[in-house]
Amino acid sequence: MFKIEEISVSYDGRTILDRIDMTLEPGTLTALVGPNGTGKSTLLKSVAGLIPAKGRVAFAGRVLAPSDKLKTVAYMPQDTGAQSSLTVLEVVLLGRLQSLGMRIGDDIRAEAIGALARFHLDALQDRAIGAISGGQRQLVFLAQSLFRAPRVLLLDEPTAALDLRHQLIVLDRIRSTCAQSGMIAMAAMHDLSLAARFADRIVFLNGGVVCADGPPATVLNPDILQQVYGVEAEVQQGPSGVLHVSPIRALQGIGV
Amino acid sequence: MATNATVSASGRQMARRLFWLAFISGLLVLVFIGDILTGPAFLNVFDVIAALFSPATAEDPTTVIIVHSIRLPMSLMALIVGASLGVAGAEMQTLLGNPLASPYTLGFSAAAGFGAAITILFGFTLPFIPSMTIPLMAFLCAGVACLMVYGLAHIRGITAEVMVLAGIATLFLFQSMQSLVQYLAAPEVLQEIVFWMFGSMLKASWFSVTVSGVIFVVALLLLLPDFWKLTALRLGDDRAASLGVNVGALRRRVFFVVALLTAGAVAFVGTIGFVGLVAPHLARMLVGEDQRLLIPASAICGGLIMVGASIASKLLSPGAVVPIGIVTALIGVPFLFGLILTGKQRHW
Repeated sequence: MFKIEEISVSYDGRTILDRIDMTLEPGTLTALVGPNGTGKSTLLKSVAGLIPAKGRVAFAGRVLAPSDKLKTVAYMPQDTGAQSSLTVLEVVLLGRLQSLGMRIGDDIRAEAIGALARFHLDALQDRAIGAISGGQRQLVFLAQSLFRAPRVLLLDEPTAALDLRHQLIVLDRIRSTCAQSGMIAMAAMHDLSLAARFADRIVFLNGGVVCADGPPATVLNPDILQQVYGVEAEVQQGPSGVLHVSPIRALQGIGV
Repeated sequence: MATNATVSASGRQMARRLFWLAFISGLLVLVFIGDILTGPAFLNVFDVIAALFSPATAEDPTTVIIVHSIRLPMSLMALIVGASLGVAGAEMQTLLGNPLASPYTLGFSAAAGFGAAITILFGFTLPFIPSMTIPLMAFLCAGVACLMVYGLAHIRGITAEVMVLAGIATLFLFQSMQSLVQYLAAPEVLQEIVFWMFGSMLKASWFSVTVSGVIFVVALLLLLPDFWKLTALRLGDDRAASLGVNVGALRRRVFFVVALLTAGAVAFVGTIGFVGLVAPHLARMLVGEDQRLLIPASAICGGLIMVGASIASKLLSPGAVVPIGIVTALIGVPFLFGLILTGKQRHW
């Protein structure tokens, strides 16, 4: 189990996150949702140890020190492009940066190519990361994160700027890796229908606090959407039983 | 799973890059020998070779003296300065995430120039080591510029944006002080200052070769543990941090190494432009961005441009040596154009 305990973050006297508590089960994917600027990325970064925060993070009953976090937790930042001529294979190899030496053995190289092959990207291994499409790039960075074999994977908007097909591929791969290896994943997302389809659990964050937390069928309803986003929305169940969210209109009097 | 074909494809790419590294190394050896063979004294090629490899049995002692006291230190200095500026440029571009960055972007060379100019203007010399006054002042002023940029960046955060802003401010400050010194200088002093600014290998000596060489080796050793972290930095600060790189600490360390390399290169021979900007681009086109290959390739490309420019500086005006800083771009630009025109579309 992965425990986030009383995580608080403040900038310039302004509270961004206020004592966030969460327990994530092995083999599950949790969607972290909420309006823009509500602290989703800050929560992921603070849990990963990339920004200073109060509180603790524990895995398997043991509080993680900063050095342990690097071994246990992988954080995949939001895709902001990559203007680099590093090859796709080099990018994946960097996933194990801490253990790379001057010479890279054939075994680790083969393993990195294997990580790419899982996404059918091995043919792109010699291409520059800046020269492939945004969807392919996101899959390469996901392959890099999984190449680290993390116990916990934190993803910041992994499907932002992806086409429909790549959105499904990315989330399907994360979910299947969780199911197969017991990896714990938490992804900050905006698309509630995708969250309902792929996540085991949805956590609504608003104003730096958790305001709803549970399985999609429990927490995804018009009342919570109105309370969190200030919108009128319909939540319908599709033929396959997956919930679908249709926003109707923004309510007046809600700050933008 | 990865097939044998895909695994061997990645091996082929590495072999291709290693071939390029070996090729430019071989080319550098040839150009270096060519540089020693060239000079205004019009020495016989065989005499020069004899003076190089068996000075004790060489027939003409004048040739031995010219080769060992003038040509060899000049060629070695060109090689070391080129290699230092190549590596400093590659790391400055990596640190600032900017293809237009060079070792001079943050004002180190302008500061060194100011240090040299003010020493020449006032004509003061150090006791015991008078010939070291100008290099030492140039080195010290480059150190002051480095501390100014670092101090500002330390207060606001060691990000590429803050460093560029602080560096450009420092650059303009030292450039204007340099101009002021030139304005105040008498014509004959001004001529000496301008000659220093051109950059010339005529100032090379075995002492300068030793000092700059030691600085270069020490800088490489300091960079060695950070090769992979610097490679990761090319993916951006956020991604590098997510891979476990302490980006601020890395930037701080490498910034000081770049300052050391730049000051070590320009203090003895003056300001030499173009090499630090272009050598890393040439290297990147040949061996990619893996710093295990990029750093040696940048050093070799820098050395190639400088030693090639050294030959050109001796051939341009028969019987004289044109300051090398004037001809570095003349040598480097055709190289660069060739690679841009023949290469595929690349991301820097």
